[in-house]
Amino acid sequence: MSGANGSVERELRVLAILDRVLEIADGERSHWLEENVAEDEDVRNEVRRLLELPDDKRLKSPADIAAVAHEAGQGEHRIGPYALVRKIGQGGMGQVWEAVEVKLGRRVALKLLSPGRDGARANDYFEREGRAASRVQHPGVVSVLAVGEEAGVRYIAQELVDGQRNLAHELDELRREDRLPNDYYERVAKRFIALAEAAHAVHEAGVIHRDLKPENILLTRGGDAKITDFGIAKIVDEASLSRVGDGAGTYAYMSPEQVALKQIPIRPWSDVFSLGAVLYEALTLSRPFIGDTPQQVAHSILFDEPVDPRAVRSRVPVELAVICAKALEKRPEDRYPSMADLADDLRRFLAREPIVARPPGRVRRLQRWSQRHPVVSTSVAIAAVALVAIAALWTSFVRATTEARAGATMVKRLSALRELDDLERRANDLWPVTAARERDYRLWIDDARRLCAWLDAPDPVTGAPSHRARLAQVRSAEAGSPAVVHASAVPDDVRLRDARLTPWIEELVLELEELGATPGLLVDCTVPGHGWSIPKRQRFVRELRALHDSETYRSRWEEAARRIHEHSAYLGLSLEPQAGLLPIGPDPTSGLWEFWHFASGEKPVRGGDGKLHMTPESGIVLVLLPRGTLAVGGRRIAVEPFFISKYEMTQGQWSRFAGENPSLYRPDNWDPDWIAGGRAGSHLHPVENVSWVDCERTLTRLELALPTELQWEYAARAGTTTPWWTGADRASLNGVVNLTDAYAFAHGGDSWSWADLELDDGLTLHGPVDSLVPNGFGLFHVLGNVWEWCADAEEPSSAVGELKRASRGGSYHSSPNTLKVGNEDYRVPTDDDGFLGVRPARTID
Amino acid sequence: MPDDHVTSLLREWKRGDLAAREELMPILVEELRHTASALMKGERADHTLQPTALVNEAYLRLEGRIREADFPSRGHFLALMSQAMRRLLVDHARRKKSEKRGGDRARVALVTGDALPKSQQVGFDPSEVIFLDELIERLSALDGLAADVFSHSHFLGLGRTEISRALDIPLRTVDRKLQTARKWLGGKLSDRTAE
Repeated sequence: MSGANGSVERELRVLAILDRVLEIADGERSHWLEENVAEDEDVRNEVRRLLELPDDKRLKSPADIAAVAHEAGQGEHRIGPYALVRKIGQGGMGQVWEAVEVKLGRRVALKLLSPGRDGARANDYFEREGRAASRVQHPGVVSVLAVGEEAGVRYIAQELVDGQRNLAHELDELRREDRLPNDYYERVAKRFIALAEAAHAVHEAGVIHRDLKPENILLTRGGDAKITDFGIAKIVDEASLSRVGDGAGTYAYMSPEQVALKQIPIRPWSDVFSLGAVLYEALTLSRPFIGDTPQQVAHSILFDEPVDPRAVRSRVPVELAVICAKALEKRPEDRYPSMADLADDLRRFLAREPIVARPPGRVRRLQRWSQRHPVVSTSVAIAAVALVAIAALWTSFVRATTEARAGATMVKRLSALRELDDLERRANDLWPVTAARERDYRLWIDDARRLCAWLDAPDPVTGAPSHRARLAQVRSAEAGSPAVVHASAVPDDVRLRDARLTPWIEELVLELEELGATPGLLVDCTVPGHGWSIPKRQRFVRELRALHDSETYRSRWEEAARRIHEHSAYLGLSLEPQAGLLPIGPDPTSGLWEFWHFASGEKPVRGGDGKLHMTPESGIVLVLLPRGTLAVGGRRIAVEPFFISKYEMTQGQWSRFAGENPSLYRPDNWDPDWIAGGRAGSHLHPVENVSWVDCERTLTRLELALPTELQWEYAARAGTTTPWWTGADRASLNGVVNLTDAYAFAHGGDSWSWADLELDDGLTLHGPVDSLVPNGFGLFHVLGNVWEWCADAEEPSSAVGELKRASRGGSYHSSPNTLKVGNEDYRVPTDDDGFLGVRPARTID
Repeated sequence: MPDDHVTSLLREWKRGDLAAREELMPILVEELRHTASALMKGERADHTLQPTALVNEAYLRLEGRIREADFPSRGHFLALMSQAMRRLLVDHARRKKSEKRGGDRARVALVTGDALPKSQQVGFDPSEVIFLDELIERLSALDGLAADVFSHSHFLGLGRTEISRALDIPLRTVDRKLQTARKWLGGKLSDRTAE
């Protein structure tokens, strides 16, 4: 029979019935059709046929557009006067293409800035840096040919350097070589003479590059070096930096004054330092300043003397080592005064004449170690990661000396925006909360207070007006009538600049206000999106220390360790005291030891019957599971002892820590329709609507983890081997596991239409985490209530995108079949829903 | 493509002007084709281009004008894009079919296939693409929501949460309508194969 000839009425009927029957559980569909579509056999058969038809996989996956794209890719496409040829680079905010300028037939590199969220700011740099570079014409500098915009896409066309190789690529290759070529150091000297001369030309044109690094030095096929990326690379790097949270590389070549954001104007000497750092890497094949975080690198740049190049590679000529050291002097005035001087000294080395630079004497070196460096103060050093980009805004103004001072102050003022970003990033890094971070918290608070101080008070050093005062100034300048402006004889460019700056200063004032108000990171509170503020973390460290130092802690752990060691179930396990956990005795039924997780809430109290009395304020209770094995696919796999939470994480625990309760069903929006039967909601219900990513982040901050699937199943089975831990029979779930049952059907309506009416647990949605019946390990709701995320990812497939993550145990919305202990469901890690929660675990330290 | 023209078309479409939609559609299809080409140029042959990536990129390119046209939500844009994607695929299939004079399947696979890895040759063949397009047209007359949900999933590659947001309907409805559409379309497709 063919559905294609059906009348419209029949088609409508088929669709309507299909729509309805899909809500019914698989097993009951046939019966339902018999009963409800009794009179129309034709329609019933068609629906039945559609239901039985194997799924067409192609309808389930996104349309295949590969062939379309492939075909489109063969056509010619243009941006402005340029035809795109192929993509040669991709960064966070832009792309680089090889393109042809159609009219002239010349090949160019076309940098495109995709309009993104920070469009205005990025565009600003893009344009300015494009203009800066176009002022310089030198064979050692990649020349900018045009700057423009087409269909909302900004572009910079620049000279195409064949091969798209840069110095970083070459250094990587050299690192893989056994030995360097014989004339390597002479070649380095020659190349850096050319580079220093090119950089000198840049400086002569009134532009400071500010971001010299191997990636920004392109190499032609002939091996000539060309400087590029006046700010574009930086935009790209910064965008990807804030995404992955790691940018140590970006800062590795920056000068101390850039890193420290000192009021010293950025001059050619900063580029001298950066080129010196690149020279150091060319000589030794390692970076002079290293670290795992931008802060570490910044600290190293400010305080550490790089290791003598000759200690890294003994063949480095002493002259080159000395030249390098002079370029890398911490104090700008100790370095080569200009790139030309650096080039001259390199030339003297090649000609075997005495060089100007002198190696630092032993005495001077010792002195330098013993004194704090004059350029920087510690707190500034730790806080600051340079705001090179904002400084760039100033390039065109700083040259006029009268404007220079005001410019420097403004750079410093606006650099606070960058420091705020940095504070936020640091706050996100300062997890988990441990005593070792106490100093970091103190420094953070110092830095934040220092930033906030300028909000209302003039700058203590320069006397520059407070941010609020300055904001009022620029606003009134903006609002001023032309006559008034004329009278005050403010130069046009200054007025223009002030107008452009207003939104920046507004943002600065706003962000500083937020920092210091509740809930802000500088106030002892919990901040939505950030969790505990820094003062709160600081206070917690003190409380944690008090706990660890207490007599109770010592004696409880002594007793626990002894009894666990003697306990037959634990097979002689020796347990050291675990930071942040306090033993609260064994469960009276399972006999397994339980521990209070100090950071997550109040201590749960054991009643006279030995059972725990949980409240919405209670912290997480971890159960210590003994060593054992689990049958997986016919094999027995050993499971080491670990901790797993007795309960699903509660809404109280999550919101106390994260500052917000993401759950769809929470006490403040508990819809009366859902609570028919007198079941109210509370913060003792499991947190849900949390994604895998949310859980991973939050648990890590609490020094907890997602269980692996192996751990989860071991915990959920508690030694049983039946389909459900309750038994082999569906009926064994009755009243023990919160699933889709008669009660849910009676009170939850349509969406519970597949309910198993023979079962009844008295709950529609999720229930309190300590309700119903625990399994053999004393764990509640391992099945039902909410799905629980596990750490594991699915097997990688050809699919593009993030790997899905496992969730286990089913929910209040699942049927008995779904709830089998061995079942898993893979979900996109950013997916969240009202039936997805988490049960924390922890390994033994 | 002149900017202000597109902006005003978007504005008119938003006000319910169907003629504006007809004029807008080829422009959007061209924009998608252009975007696809830009995305594919720099990629290896085995790179999979997902509809989602394409639409996101197109969104970025059009963002300025969408904002100017004062679209109330991204959902409106997605509805438009799902139609454009459908059109793009059908246009391509029609071209392929006429190129091959009757859509000889083996030859299509050979021609489009040499630069593409196997994993990508899983979709519909050109004549099926055109048939599917007709089916969706029919489905939208019978159950418009099912057709929209399916189009968002298939042509935009959106997940259930995104669809629920874009169409402003509950997740449960998304799931049900998606199943309904798939079952119905699957039935029609298998009828055709059997014929």
